[in-house]
Amino acid sequence: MKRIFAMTILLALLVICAGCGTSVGVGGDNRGHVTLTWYFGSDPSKPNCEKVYETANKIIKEKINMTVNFKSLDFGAYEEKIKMIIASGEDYDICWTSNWYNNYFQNVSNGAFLPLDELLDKTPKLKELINPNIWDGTRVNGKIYGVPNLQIMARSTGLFVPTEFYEKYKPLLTNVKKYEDLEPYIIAFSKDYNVQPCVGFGWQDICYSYGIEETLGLYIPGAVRLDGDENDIKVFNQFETPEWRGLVMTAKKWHDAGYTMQGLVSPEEKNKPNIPPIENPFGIGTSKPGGGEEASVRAGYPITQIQISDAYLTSQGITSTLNSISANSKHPEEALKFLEYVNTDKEIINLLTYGIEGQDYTKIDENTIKLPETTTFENANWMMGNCYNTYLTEGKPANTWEETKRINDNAKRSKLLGFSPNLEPIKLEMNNCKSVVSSYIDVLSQGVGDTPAMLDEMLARLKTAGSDKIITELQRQIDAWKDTVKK
Amino acid sequence: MKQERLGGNRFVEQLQLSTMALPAVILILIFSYIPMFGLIIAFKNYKVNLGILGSEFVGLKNFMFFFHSNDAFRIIRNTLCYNAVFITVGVVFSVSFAIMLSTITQKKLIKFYQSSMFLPYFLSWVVVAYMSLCFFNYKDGILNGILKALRQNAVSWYSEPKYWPFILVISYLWKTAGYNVLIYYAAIISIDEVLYEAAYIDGCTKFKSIWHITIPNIRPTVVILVILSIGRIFYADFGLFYQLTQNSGSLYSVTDVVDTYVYRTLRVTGDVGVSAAVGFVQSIVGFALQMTTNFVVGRIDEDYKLI
Amino acid sequence: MKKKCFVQIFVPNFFLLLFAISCIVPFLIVVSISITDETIINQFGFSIIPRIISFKSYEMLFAAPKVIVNAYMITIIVTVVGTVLSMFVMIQFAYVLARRSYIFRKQLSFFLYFTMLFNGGLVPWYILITKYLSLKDNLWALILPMLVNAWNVFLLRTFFQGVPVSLIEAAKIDGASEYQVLYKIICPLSTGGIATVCIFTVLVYWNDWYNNMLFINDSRLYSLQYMLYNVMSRVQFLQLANAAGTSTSMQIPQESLRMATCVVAAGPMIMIFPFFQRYFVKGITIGSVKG
Repeated sequence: MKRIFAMTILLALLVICAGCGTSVGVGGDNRGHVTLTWYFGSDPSKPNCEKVYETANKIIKEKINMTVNFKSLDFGAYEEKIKMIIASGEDYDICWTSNWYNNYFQNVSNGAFLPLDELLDKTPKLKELINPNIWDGTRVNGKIYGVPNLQIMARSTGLFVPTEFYEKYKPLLTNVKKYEDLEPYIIAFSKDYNVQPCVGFGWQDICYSYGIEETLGLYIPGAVRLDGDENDIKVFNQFETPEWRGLVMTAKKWHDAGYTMQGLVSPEEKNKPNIPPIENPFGIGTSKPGGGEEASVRAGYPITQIQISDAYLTSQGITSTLNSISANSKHPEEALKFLEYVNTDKEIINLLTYGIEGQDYTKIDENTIKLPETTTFENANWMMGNCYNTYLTEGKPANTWEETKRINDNAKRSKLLGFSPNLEPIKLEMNNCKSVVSSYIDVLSQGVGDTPAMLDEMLARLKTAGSDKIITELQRQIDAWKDTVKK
Repeated sequence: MKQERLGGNRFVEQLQLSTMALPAVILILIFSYIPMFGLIIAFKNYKVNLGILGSEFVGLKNFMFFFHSNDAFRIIRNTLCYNAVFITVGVVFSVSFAIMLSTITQKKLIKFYQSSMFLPYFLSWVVVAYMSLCFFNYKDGILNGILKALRQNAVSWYSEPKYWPFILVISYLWKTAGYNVLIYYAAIISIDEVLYEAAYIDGCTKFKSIWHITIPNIRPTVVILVILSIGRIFYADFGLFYQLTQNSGSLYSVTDVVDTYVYRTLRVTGDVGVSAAVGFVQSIVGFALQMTTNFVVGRIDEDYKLI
Repeated sequence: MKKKCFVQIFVPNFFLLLFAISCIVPFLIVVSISITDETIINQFGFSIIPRIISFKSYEMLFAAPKVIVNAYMITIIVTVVGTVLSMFVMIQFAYVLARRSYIFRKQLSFFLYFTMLFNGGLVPWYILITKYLSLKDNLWALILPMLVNAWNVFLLRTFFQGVPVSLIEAAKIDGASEYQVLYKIICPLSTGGIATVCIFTVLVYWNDWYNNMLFINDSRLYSLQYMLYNVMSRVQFLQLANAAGTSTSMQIPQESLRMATCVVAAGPMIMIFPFFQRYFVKGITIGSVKG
């Protein structure tokens, strides 16, 4: 018995040593020129990763004389991993960030990223590629801290309806501009199919159709009007607006009349995959070119997208995907040069997104490709760089990127573009308020319970949580910012 | 002469004991004590580009953040109350099941009970949370199915706070009892069989021998486990309170505990200093309470003391 | 010999059975969902007995058997090496703490105890392991930090203290060294306790995904539990990504696939348990004599 134990340990130790040996080999590179480290989210267990990155490095070396250590971390674990890497001050050059995962604004405020304004003068191609309005959206305290990846940046409310219902109820759906307008449709739907589907208004997306922009993030008081005079910016608590009251009262009305589900489903139940069309009369999200096709792939049946609001260029939309350079990077200039290359070169971005032609995908025409059912290599184009340069996957409209660019360029500019709040003085209040709103949001958005009473209760609790302090402080910061811009 | 030999032996004995402890001491020193220097983060406004030492010293500001929070009272109350219930109910439940298990004589049955009780312990909270959806889902959950069959109204489990104290306690017991039963059972079977034989000859009933032999003999194990858990009274099982409840906002009033609060705060503010400060408070509270218990226990019987 | 009345047999069996069933049923549900056809789950929800059996999710899981086999290998190596080393270190330490005549007993107890309550937090710990010990992408990062578990050491100490001191003294007088006392006398007398701590240690190593997540980027060194975590956490990521207006062609993993991953990750532990169990089953020899 003892001998077996000893043998097992010996064997295991050998295997471990072997494991170390190979893992060191991966990082090996030629000396003499700069090697950058780039962290981004992906699925590193795809079989062709090494091959693709090797090919990419050959090209990168030839073109701009650098090599890149592509560190792809699992999507699901990306945030926890990268937060640790950033917080520990580990040596890396570029990392992917956004306002919804590995939070850009938090990272900037924690001193993790390098301001790029001066460096950008040395990469004119990159600076020109992205329109100044979009650059403005990435500014924190007036400085740019990340290179936004071009994709759909303008935000507008989209209605996603299964195509079969869209065809059937077209007259009821064409004039929808607000949540309330969906009433005839939901009445007809629940009557015709005798169901009580679970629907919600998706506040973070529907707010655009009411012309409201949330400035501090989801469920935190502090919003401005999107339309109106450029110089008259008034901050208010979005949950005290008649629009918000109207929304929750609509939900209540539908619930009480029995058009919608009578109880509250769990978050998991609401988001579960493959919800059949009959339980999914409509969904609310961000409208974008090709959005319907994308939703169809996800749902497994055709879905039609209807844009119900104007498109606005907001900081929230712009910072939904960026690549930033580490404050501790030893090669910031080279790193930005590399980002310029990735964002302006068609060959490299497609290689990094879809892999090698013929092995990882097949081309259908010049700009459209077909991926195999189980991909052998795949990254998200919106994490790697400029999506306008990437191939379209089968089924998406050919003009997707032209349309996207048109919408981004023509979207109405948010009055706050270029402004970034300093959250330090209101951190505590924000945290308090978010937890208050989170406690009510599910119940209110489904119309379960005594809505008016609960809404009043929520507003009262928001007051004690410090919502007024947030509004006042935000107003003060915005006024101060407006003054500096005017000068 | 004899005295002297013992003295020499004593030295050898102490040396041998010290070498035996050495590997553990070194490991503890490296992996537990060295990182403790990092506790200073709790007193700093930590900025990545400035490093731990270079960041600005802010005194107790990070601590104030937690105590000035609106929910501080509710969170502390929830954490302490749940843990108190978990400890007391947990001990009663596991000890009684361990005793029941010890009265079983068929080996096959013991094996069966033991393995099945231990099953939940194998599953992570993520999986348990997922399984619980089968029961609590509004639309297709099993519980609502039963309610409907009984012509009762379906319950939106994830938005009704009143049920959750019970659900949480039951889930906790269900998941951890197997573990504790195993420890107590191991303690019971190491009790000398002779004691029971003697009691039986003296005419003790089964019940009496449990009371007079089993319980006193496993008391040290019970006491040490209780003292150990009291040290963690300000910590909460994140998986239980976050995953099992699906982080449902409507339930916060009864499910919000220190660890879930820190997690959510970190997501809103991204402030490492605050979570370090809260961790420090958790340690201090645990330390104080544990030391007190240890002292009280020590007054009753020196043997039961943890240290 | 002893006569037991009906109540004495019935009551414990009744409660134990009830508890046992409540523990088994959810597990059966997991297995059942993992072999249920996905469309059926969508249509009828979860059920204990699958309406239509489909092994598709297992086929998907084992589509790249190399990945799973590799993850098994990593988990097994870490668990075996970790448990053996850990038991070795902890048993010795616990024994030292259990010896009343050891002069530093109190100090070392406190030294250990203090670590249960105070730690430096995640960031400094991460810096230590990645920067100063450079254990990133190294399996030792999964083994070394968890070798000494204070809770388990105290448990072992309590079990060791149950051995009568007279036995140790007698052995010492016979000239036994401390090592001999520990391995020849104490250990054989505390098999129940050692087996208990051993199974806990095995479980800690087997179930650890957090260290794997923090310290391992190389996909060839992924453990089973981390793969499970990945499947589950990807769901959240995809929901966030959709909400943010970005998109992936990646599908949310289906429910049956998630459950199949659970079964694959937890299954082997259930096979291992009976191996330890013989140490818990009361009185193997005494019982057989008594009948």
